[in-house]
Amino acid sequence: MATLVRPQSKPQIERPVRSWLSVRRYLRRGARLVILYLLAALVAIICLFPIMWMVKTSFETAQSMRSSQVQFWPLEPTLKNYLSVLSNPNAAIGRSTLNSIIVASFSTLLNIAITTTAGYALSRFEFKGKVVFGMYLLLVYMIPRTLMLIGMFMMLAALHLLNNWMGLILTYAAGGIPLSVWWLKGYFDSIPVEIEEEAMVDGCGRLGALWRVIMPLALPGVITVGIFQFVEGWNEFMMALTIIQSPKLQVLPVQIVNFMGFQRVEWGPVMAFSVIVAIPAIILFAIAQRGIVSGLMSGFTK
Amino acid sequence: MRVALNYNRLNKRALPYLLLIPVIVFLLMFSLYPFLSGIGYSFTSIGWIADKAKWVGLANYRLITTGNVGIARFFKLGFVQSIEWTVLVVTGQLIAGMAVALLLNEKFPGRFLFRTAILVPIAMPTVILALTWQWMYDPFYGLINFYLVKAGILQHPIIWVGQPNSSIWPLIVVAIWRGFPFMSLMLLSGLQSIPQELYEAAKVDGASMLDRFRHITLPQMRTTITITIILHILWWWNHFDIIMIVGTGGTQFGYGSATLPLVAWFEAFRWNHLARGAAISVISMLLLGGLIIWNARRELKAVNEM
Repeated sequence: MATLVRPQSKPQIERPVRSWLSVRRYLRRGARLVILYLLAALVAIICLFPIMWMVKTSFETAQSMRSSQVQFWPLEPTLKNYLSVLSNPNAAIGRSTLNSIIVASFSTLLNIAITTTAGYALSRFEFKGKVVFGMYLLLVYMIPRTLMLIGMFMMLAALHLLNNWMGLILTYAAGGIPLSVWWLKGYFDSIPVEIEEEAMVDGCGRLGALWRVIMPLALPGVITVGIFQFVEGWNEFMMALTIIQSPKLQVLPVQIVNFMGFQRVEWGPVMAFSVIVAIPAIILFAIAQRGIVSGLMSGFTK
Repeated sequence: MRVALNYNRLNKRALPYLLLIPVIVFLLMFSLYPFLSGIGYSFTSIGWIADKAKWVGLANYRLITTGNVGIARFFKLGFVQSIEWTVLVVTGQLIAGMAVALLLNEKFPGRFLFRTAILVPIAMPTVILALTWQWMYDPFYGLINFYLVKAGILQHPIIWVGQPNSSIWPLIVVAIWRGFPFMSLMLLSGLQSIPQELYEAAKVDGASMLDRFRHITLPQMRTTITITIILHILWWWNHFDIIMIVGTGGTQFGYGSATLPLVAWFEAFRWNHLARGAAISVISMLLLGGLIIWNARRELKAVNEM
């Protein structure tokens, strides 16, 4: 008898305990979520505040900026800053945007053209010198850029490429080599060898297989790397500051700093200029975000 | 048939080299040569591009490291500030980055939105973020002065940056802010590779949150943390943009907030002493030499496994 009663009565005793536990657990879970959201909101505010401040300033009039009270929202939102940047000859925003687009695109194309084949070679072949080559690619990263810059500056001077887009295009394309090669090698590694072997059996040569079969498969990866290199070229400051002297040839990051020198206390137009320069970088990064983050993480933490 | 086979074999052996030639040529011309010639120039008297390079041995190095006037003074200042800058920036980024990584590793609805929030500053050009911070530090209308005065922390607005005797502290704050989102992404990718079972087992054993962090998270993350720290030390020791833009306010330069790369750049490209700039860069590189060798050994291992 006793054995029959116990299993019946056990749930009856435990049920109230269990529901009390679940209420407590429910509350704890709720409290945990509240704390997590508060902390996450704090992180988001810290990350985004200066950027929101930049955007806010770009819509603010000079008078309200100089008022004794700091406003978190522009009292009289205005597009005047944007109009003044677009029309100010000192800003030269059209010309420097064009310069930036030219330099960043050509350096990206050059970089991708030479690193795609290299990444493929590292992924598919065993050959003498592979380790030395791979090691050099990683060591390049650790050379101080100021030291490289001095040697580069003398060399570009000898080649008559100082104060010339070509100088910037070549340095950017070369500077991006290590990351691109490693990154693309990873993409090629993820494509099964069988696919190109099949293509080669079907009568493609090795290069034919690379071009017709592998490249279409690797294209999303190649585009991701290309977007990253373009944004790097778009954002680069030190080389451009050193190599380009003529204002006519200047690219955006240096141009905006020069413009700030002209403006001094007029932060509205400078911030409007900043917003204009930041937007393309953010859009491109957002498009390729997933690939860029996973690529960088696997590249750096290996 | 036989000819075709031979052709194929030759092709197979030569092909990897053919595919690598463009990259190798580029690296030789635009990275190895500038690096080696940069070291070479540090032993010459070269000032500007038109000068003939004359061998002077260690004269530049002696000039930089002896005495306490001119460039020797700036070198000592830059050396001290490089260490201060790197230690504080990387430590600050590590603490903030670890906290954010742990937070984003928790599961809660809408987590991806907050991950996007830390990605936004990563995507932005450093130059523009530096300008925005310079505006926030503005002595007259800047937000930081306004609130510090209002809160009674400051009696009157102060000039934070861009003066010859400006401190490097305001720049360190900017650098920590600029770098911690990326640091937290790196740490997060390490956190996500820790097997979940370890935590569950510890929970069953009744380990507290702090215990779990100390006895599971930290040991499991050791490699990731070490690599992240080393890479960030290398990057931020050589950092240029923030110090240049926030610290100079355009063209005037405050040595009060200069690190070695900045001292080298100014010596080479503003005062037209390319050789001395190169010598400062070489010393700066040697100071990091231990780290570089350590990292190279680790990476050599990665290459061997390739």
